[in-house]
Amino acid sequence: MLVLAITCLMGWGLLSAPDLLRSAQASPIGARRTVAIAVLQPFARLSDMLGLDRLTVGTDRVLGHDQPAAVGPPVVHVPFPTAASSSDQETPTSAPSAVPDPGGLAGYPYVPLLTPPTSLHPLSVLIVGDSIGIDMGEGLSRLLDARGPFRPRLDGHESTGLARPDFFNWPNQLARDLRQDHPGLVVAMMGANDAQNFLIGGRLVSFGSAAWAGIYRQRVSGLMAEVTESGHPMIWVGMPVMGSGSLSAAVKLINSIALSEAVLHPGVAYVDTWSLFVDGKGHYAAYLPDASGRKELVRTPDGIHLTPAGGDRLALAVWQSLRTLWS
Amino acid sequence: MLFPTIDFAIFFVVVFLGHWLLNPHPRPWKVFMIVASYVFYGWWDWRFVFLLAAATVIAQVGARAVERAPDPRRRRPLLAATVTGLLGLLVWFKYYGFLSLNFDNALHGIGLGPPLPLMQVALPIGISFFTFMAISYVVDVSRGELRTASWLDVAVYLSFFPHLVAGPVVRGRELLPQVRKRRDPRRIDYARAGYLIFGGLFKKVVISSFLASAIVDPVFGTPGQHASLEILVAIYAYAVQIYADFSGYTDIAIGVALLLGFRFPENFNAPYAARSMQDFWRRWHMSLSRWLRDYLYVPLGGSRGRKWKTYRNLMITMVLGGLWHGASWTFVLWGAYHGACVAVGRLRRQHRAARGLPELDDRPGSAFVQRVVTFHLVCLGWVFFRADSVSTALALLGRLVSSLGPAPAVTPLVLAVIAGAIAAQYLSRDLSASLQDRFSRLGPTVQGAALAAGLYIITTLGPQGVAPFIYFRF
Repeated sequence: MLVLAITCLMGWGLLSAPDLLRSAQASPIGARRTVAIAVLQPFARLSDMLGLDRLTVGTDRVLGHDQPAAVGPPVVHVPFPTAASSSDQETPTSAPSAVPDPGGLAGYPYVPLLTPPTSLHPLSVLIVGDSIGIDMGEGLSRLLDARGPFRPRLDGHESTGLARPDFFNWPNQLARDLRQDHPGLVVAMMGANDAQNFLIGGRLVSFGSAAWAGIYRQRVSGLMAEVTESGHPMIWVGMPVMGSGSLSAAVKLINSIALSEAVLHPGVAYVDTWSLFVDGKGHYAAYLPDASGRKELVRTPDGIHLTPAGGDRLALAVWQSLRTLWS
Repeated sequence: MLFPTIDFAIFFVVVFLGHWLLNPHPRPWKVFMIVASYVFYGWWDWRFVFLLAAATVIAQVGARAVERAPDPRRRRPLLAATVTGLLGLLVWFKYYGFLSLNFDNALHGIGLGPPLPLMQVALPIGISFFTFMAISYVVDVSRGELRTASWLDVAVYLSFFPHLVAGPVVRGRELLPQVRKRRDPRRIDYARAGYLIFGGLFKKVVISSFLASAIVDPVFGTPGQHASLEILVAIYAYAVQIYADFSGYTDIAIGVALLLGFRFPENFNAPYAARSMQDFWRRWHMSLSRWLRDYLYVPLGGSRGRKWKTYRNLMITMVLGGLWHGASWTFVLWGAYHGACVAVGRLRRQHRAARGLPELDDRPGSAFVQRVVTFHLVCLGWVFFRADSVSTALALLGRLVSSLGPAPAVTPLVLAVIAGAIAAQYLSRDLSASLQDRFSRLGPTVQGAALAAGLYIITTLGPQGVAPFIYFRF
């Protein structure tokens, strides 16, 4: 039994060492990651010496697991009409310091007006995001399907965000999506997984620090620019209040960065969803009344994700913002 | 702790070594196994270990009181109190939100205010499994079919980590004798254990994950964007996904238990080869079917009374069996649908018996038709099981017949995986036994190398990260 187990684990360890090391490097920063990397590095070196890593690299390439950089024709950068020229509104020169108080949707109408979609010219809507983005995206897809002249497509990836491009690279993914879909509009919702430290060049950057906020701001800005500079308008959906106080505080910081960057990027509207999931006292609420006054469960027991009813509620808020683009 | 993770691999190496080192010393072994199982359970949320401990205490105190009661009349209230206590845990954690929300809305409909505070209670993983096991222990003691075990034995029985979070629902009389007996490491069927664990991993990590991401989740998430053909194939795919997911978990659980010298009952036997809905329930989640039969259907009167009472008992059992899967109207409907199907099947068999015919038509070709019809009836039920609401299920079924168009999600690979998984249900058990036999005759180094290659294939074909098992939330 011992010989069998050792042979199996050693054999698998050597064959999978490059993948395992890559997974370990992309795992949350901490002691567990450090230990895993220390254990796996000798395996990866041995695998390299024996040439076994070539098998893994080849297999990953065949299966498309190697996440290549964006391939295909380059994105055409279309000059984007400025908010002022399209809606006669002034672009603010400075970003607000915090998320507006709950109490309403903060739609920042700097997205250029779109041609009203018709059945002959439906609006293609690309929805991207993390797991909460998926909850919202499924609701929005249902809603747009029911409304008519829309072609929504949801590209959601669980456990992703902008904090760990080594784990999942949203800019690359978005570039592929834009090239494939040529959407009339992009709706993005992510950030709940980003309340974590960064490791930049071996240096730990703590979540919430000024350095962290600066780096995160660059990443949000980069994603918004990627969409708008390609000629696509964008709606950035902020995160709702969370069941845990500490996560709520973290998400508030992330929302404030996204909002301030949305204001600086003509072509991006920000939808504040914070107040959609609070009770009369402004506290997190899992049950909320629907339009008829009947209560419905809108959040899952983890206090983070949305039930289908919650996804529909959030989608309706996005829709209210979205329809202003052509009305 | 999920089975297909590095965390579990490390945990199991430690437990495996500790288990066999302490095997000759029963008392330290039991303490070690309880601690290990509680660590396994507490990995999700350490607070829930108190719940597991509470269920153990209620079951053991109740079982002892029931056993000591001098006559059956005194046993009954003690048994009722114990079962109520155990069901109370289950109802509070699993059904409080559902019940209070529906009660609240019913009163709102007639203009009355909220009677109960609406609270979201976190659902502890596996609570339905260990409470059912605890109930079976107490009921078996009250029936005189089982003697009460020691505190340590009961704690090991209820918390034993291989079955803890998603079954199988092992009875006290199946596991407690094995807990008491010293295990012989020379009699462990390592080849069978390896076959089960690797087969289970393949089903879960490769087949279930692939079908979920390739077609099931997109179609059930946004049915309005998909054509009839995609919806039809997604329903077939979900049938395969839930089978691969749940039977995969069970296979791993049975294999892990086998490595520790324990034998669990079978939980699946080619369910999609069933020839009737009754036959399906003899093959699907067999340990739960047996539990529902012995601790719900039979105590309700089973088929002993009048005909209508038999059907009533059948419907109650199936509806409650549906509700066991989750606090939602979709599960209630799913249970009622299966109850109705089983009832119609029973009625049909009785009519055939009255005409002197065998229960099922055995003419050539009939078995094939029966299997196809049964599979599609089961698939129809899965629509309600998987959909997030009754309206989504109905929307899916509506689009199934009304939404012609291109079906890009239906790829040759998706079809091949579905066809392969269903075809595998028809493989002879002898073939599987023969493969295991051949594997067991190989030397340990060759076996290890083969398993390493198998593990490499599974981890390479599988997605990054592992989704929780579907049955964890039950």
